[in-house]
Amino acid sequence: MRTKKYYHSLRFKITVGLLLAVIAVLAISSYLRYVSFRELLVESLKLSAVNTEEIVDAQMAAYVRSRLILSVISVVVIVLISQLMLGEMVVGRLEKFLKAVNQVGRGNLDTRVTIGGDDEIAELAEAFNRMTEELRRQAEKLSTLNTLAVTAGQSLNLEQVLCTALDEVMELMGVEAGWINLQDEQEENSRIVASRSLPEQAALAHAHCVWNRGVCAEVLKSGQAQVFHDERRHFCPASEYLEEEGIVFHACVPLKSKDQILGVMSLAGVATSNLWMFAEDSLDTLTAIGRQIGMAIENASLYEELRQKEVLRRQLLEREITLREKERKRIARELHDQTGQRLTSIIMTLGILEEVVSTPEAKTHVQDLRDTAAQVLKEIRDVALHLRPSVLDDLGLLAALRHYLKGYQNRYRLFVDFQALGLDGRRLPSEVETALFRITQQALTNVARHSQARHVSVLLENRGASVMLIVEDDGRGFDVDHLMNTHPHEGNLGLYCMRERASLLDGTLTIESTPESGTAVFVRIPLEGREGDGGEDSTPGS
Amino acid sequence: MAEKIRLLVADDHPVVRAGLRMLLSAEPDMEVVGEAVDGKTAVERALELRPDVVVMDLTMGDMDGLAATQEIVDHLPRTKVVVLTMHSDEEYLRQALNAGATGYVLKEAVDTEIAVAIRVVQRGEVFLYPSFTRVLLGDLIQAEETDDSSEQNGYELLSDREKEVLRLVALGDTNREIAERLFLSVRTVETYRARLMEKLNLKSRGELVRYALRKGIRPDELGDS
Repeated sequence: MRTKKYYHSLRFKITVGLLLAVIAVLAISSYLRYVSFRELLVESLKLSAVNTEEIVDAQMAAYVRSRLILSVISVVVIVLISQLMLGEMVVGRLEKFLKAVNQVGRGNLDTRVTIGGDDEIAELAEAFNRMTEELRRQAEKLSTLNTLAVTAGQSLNLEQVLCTALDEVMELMGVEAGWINLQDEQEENSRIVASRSLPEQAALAHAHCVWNRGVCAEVLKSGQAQVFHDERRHFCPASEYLEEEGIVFHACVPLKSKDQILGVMSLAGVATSNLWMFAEDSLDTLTAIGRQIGMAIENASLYEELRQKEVLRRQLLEREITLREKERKRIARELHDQTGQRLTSIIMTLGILEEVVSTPEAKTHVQDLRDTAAQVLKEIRDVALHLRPSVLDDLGLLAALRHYLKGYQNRYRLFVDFQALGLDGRRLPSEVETALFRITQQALTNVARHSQARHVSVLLENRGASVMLIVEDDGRGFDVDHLMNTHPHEGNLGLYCMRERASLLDGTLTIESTPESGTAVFVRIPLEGREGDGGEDSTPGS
Repeated sequence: MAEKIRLLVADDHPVVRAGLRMLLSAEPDMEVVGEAVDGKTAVERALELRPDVVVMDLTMGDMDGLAATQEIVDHLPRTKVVVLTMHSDEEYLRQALNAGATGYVLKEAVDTEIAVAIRVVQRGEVFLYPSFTRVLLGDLIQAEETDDSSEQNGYELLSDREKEVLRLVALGDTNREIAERLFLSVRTVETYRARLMEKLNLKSRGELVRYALRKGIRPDELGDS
């Protein structure tokens, strides 16, 4: 709007200026004519009368006045007409131009102005059109780079990233064929990861592309995108086959991440179809694109590495937990079955011996021995129980929890409310039973150690397709987000272990805590797709 | 002396069997008539020998002491079973009693108690390792405690929202899930829950769930929907 105002005032100034100029010219010419005419008249009438000069003066003045008024009127008319014509000629075209400029300003880069004539305005329009075209191309490049960046950011699948990138670049450059070679683990060779319209034989030839020869090597050395016009002068294993397809030029773009070249993107086409590709700035754009793609490759491979590590971590953890439980079970059983039975037999023998020996002194010794053996047996039973309660394997989760909770209640003077639903006479898969038992143990240990609670509820519900465990206390609570979002340390390791246990069985563990009113741990583990009544050693995860 | 008590000893450990045989043979009123190394042979030998009392180990390799007890009691109503085990967990005791055993002796007390136990069950009475009596008593007392017979009908005092929150808590939903379902904030859900628990005089989630079950607010068994 400001432009428009300015433009209008300019128009007004020009008009007034022109008007004044025309009036001045007319006035001066009228005055000169008046002077010469008067002189002529005065000369011719000098002889006839004394008063003639005055008369002539008066006559002339009247004449001039009328002439002047007439002139002014005609000048005004002329100026107005010319102004209108000028407006049509200059201002109208400028206005059109202005419209186009505004359009471009608004981002419509397809705008072009058509202004006839061969004056400066027409030239200006042409220059303007050229500039807009250039802007459009630059914008297109930027948008391609942006699309590439977005594509690269969206997918972490390497092949998908490269195929999309190749398509984008080919469309931008308007080339007929393209392919991407990535450096192999074994330095010297490369492999084609993505290709479009690449003849099969060319692909085969390229499959053994050697980095240190031909066009690839040149690009690798310079680190800049390059265009090779004459295929024959620049060696590429695929050039022979490409020529058959009528392809005569070939651009190689290094795919860089930081300072490392990870691969080369090749673009090939029929030379005449797309000349602008050879422009200096196109190569810069290509180099920039190469860097984008390089970064995407790096991201994708880092992600892949991370994914593989996560898979490995999970496997190791699962193995570790399984092994630990197995080992505990084995030791517990051994204590029970071997050591325990031997001690039993010792106790029995000592019992008989006690009756048999005659001296009171010997009797006391035997009695002491017998008591010690009984004590050792008790201790061994406790150790075995601590390692892994045999009741969990023999009688199942429900029995194991009941037993554990009773001991817990006595130990910590906490009131435990245990409620099980849908579990009577039903066994869960052994790995689920183990996990739920251990999670409960951990959760209750946390309650006893940190919560200052007086009541704890343990709820266990078998819902057929899943099993749910809730451990809730009425203690002082804690900041869950804070504790779970910090790195594992002494204070939250137990929570992490519980969560890992659940997640290894594709389950979830949620903790909700309210300051001064308690904490609830919710565990849900899917049962679908697992073997039914488990409980035997062979099941993984036991 | 009248007739001796005829005994069958079932244990998978030779040392234990030998010890028992020695120990029991020393008793003038007892006679070991047979041995078995696992549950299956225990049943076979019992049917064959018809002993008065079977001394049964619970964990014989494959945990079939319970099944064997059940089988023997079912087929031979006059034969009694004394369980002799290392397991002091009352869960095993529960299971053993359910299976039909009438005696329960821990191995650590075998020398002093087994003979007594055999005589007691032979008379048709029950012998339990003394510390278990307390366990059972504790159960009984607790059962009385949790039997909220004095329950007042506070349910009518609940608002619709509180009733809904009660139902969802009883179903095991987290506060966040309840909040999302009812379009409330988590804090509001906590408030509703605290209020309804106070109105119903419930102290824990366990009590809440049982209340909901008694009132039929939630079904006894849930299939995953």
